[in-house]
Amino acid sequence: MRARFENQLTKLRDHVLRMGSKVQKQLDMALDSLTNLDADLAQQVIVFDQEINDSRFSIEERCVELIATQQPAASDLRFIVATLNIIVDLERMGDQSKGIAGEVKHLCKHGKKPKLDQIQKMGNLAKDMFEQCLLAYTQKNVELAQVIYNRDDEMDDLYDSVITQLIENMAETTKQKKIEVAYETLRIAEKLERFADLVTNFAERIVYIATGDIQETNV
Amino acid sequence: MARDKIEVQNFNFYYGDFQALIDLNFAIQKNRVTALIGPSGCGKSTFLRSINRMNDTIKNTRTVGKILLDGKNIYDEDVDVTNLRQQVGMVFQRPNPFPQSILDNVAFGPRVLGMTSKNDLGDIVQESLEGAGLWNEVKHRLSDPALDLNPGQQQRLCIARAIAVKPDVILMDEPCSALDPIATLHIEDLMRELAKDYTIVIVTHNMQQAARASHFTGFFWLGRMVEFGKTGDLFAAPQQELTEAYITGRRG
Repeated sequence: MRARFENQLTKLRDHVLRMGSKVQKQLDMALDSLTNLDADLAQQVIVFDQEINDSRFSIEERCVELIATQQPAASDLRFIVATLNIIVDLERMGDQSKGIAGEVKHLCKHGKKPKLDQIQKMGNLAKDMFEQCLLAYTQKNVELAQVIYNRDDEMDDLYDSVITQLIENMAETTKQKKIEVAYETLRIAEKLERFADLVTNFAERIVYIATGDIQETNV
Repeated sequence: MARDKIEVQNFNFYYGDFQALIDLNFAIQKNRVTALIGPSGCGKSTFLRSINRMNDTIKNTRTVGKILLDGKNIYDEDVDVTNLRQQVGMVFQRPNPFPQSILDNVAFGPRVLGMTSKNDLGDIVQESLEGAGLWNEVKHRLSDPALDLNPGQQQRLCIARAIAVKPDVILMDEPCSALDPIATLHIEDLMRELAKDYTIVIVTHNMQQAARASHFTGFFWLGRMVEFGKTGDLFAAPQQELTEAYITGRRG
């Protein structure tokens, strides 16, 4: 029976990883749609979000079934409870990408994209952090998960500088179109910052699985 | 310290040359349910039976170290074992009522202790049956044979019989293993209820039972206490790898 349960837990982990790679793909697509001002691609991101939401519910059902039938304890229990939290965070990460795609569609209407390197940097950092997080999850690697906390500080600094820059841009112009672009850009930055927060939550859950300690780093 | 009802200090137990318990050191708190878990042969029942010296009846056994009950070593020479067993009652795996009436089962202990007044006995029988959560089911048929009761009721009768002599501590050795799930839940509820007045120590193979019913859990392995702690902590995040392996079923 233990072997069967082990097998179910491995499958559960694989499903989370699969959902994770969907979220990765969705973020990539959202950032590409921004770089290329591609409204069709942005629309695909929005449609794709449904698939991520579906994954969340099917994984949640698996978790509930395992709790009901296996009465898990100790690290097994922590793994399943953490998974229930992780999939909610993953789904919300998906929502951020979907939100970015929505902003990209607005930008497409103006035919202008933001000229901020920092947005690019924020996007790359979000991707990096998330990739690292999935690796830490696969390996149950606490040190790696904790590195992500520091990178979130990097993200916060970038976000602050983007806001400062955008406010300056808005203050310098009287053109409505420019202000609108700055505003959409600001909303994109906000979603990337939020994405990184959710990655950090995920990383906290990895530490919990491994050690039983629940930490709150996003304060 | 005042909350420690039982203190186990460097306690060792031998069956002849075989050492069944090795260097036990921990404390059992007053008015709490403490569960002892571990695989068969790990020593948990031997330990339970050491708390009221039930092992004295087994030939060729010896102990080293102390078990303090309210600060007094129960293995001291001046300890009266009969008094000790009145103070530390026991409930066994299979319900074992005497082949007598319900009333006589519960009144048995008090009578042995010299109580003769019918009124006093009546009071204590009612009190004990109420305490064991059985009174409402049997109050109209106290003179019926105890063996007519169903197994769950019989076990609660045994608990009533144990508390009739006003013990401080109740030891339960797999008290639910012969009972169906409903009767089991009934006994588990009762354990928590009884813990208000008594200190309960239970040996169980059923880890869910330990998780549900106890405040503290100790995990035994090959005669040693591997881990002892609050039940919630021990089942959610055990400190020892061996505990983790056992409660998750990777080892046992």
